[in-house]
Amino acid sequence: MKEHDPLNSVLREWEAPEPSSAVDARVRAAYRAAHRPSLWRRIWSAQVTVPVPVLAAVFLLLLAPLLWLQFRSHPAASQPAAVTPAGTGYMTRVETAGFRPLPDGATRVIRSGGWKQ
Amino acid sequence: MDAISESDSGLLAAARHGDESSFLTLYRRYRTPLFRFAWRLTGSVATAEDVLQECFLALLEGARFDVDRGSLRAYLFGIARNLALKRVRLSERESEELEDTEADLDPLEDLLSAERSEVVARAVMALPHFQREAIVLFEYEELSLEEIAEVAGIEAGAVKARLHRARETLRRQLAPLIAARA
Repeated sequence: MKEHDPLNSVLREWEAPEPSSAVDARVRAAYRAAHRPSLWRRIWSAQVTVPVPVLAAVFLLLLAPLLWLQFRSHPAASQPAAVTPAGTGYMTRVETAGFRPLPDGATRVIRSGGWKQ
Repeated sequence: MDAISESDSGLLAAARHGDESSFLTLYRRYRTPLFRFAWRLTGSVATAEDVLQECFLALLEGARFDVDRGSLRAYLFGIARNLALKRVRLSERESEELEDTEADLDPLEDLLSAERSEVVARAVMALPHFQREAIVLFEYEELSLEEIAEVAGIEAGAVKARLHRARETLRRQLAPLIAARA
């Protein structure tokens, strides 16, 4: 239908203009208005760039109270036991100096006040 | 399904889900052909730009496009065609002068007073609407008969008949230009 027909070349003389850049901006704005993501979607997909030193400082600031609480509730086991001051309770002192087990391994019960030297 | 159709449907799906870059890729692919088509049907830059904008918004809002039933290109031209037709009918209702344009056309006088492109434009614009859209889609936008049939919602045979009538009318109207070129 189109080959070698002079009508085709005559029709080609009618050239169309290009759409303006204003319509591009209008179409883009209309798209954004129609497809604006919800608040939750925007929050969920939001991104924040943080420098590593700042991130490390924030991490330490968050970690410090936790370490402090941990330290307070479980004091170190290597600390010596505090000596109870006199008059505030009972204290039992066991001395093992001169202790020798009986040769036959028998148990001897000594009643209170029954020991005489 | 060819590669363009496949990528068109992928881009459209992404654009409908809010991916702006996919939307812009589709828009840049079809903006100029759709604008040219609407401009050649309506004869107005402002109206053609409105048609272009509404065309893409209708594409995003509507869910009726089925990639298995045709190309996105034909679908978009179909939307543009309906939007342009609506506007042409509105303007025809406002002024009835378009009906008499063909009778008043004088190619020889036009050759003397206006540029050749203006003569061609007037001859095409003077065609009945359905013949005009067929000739614009076939000659200027290079759609196949089947695609034009899809756009216009008619059989390919009817498209062929419209094209034949349009070309015969144009051949008569533009005879001096054709003779000068031959």
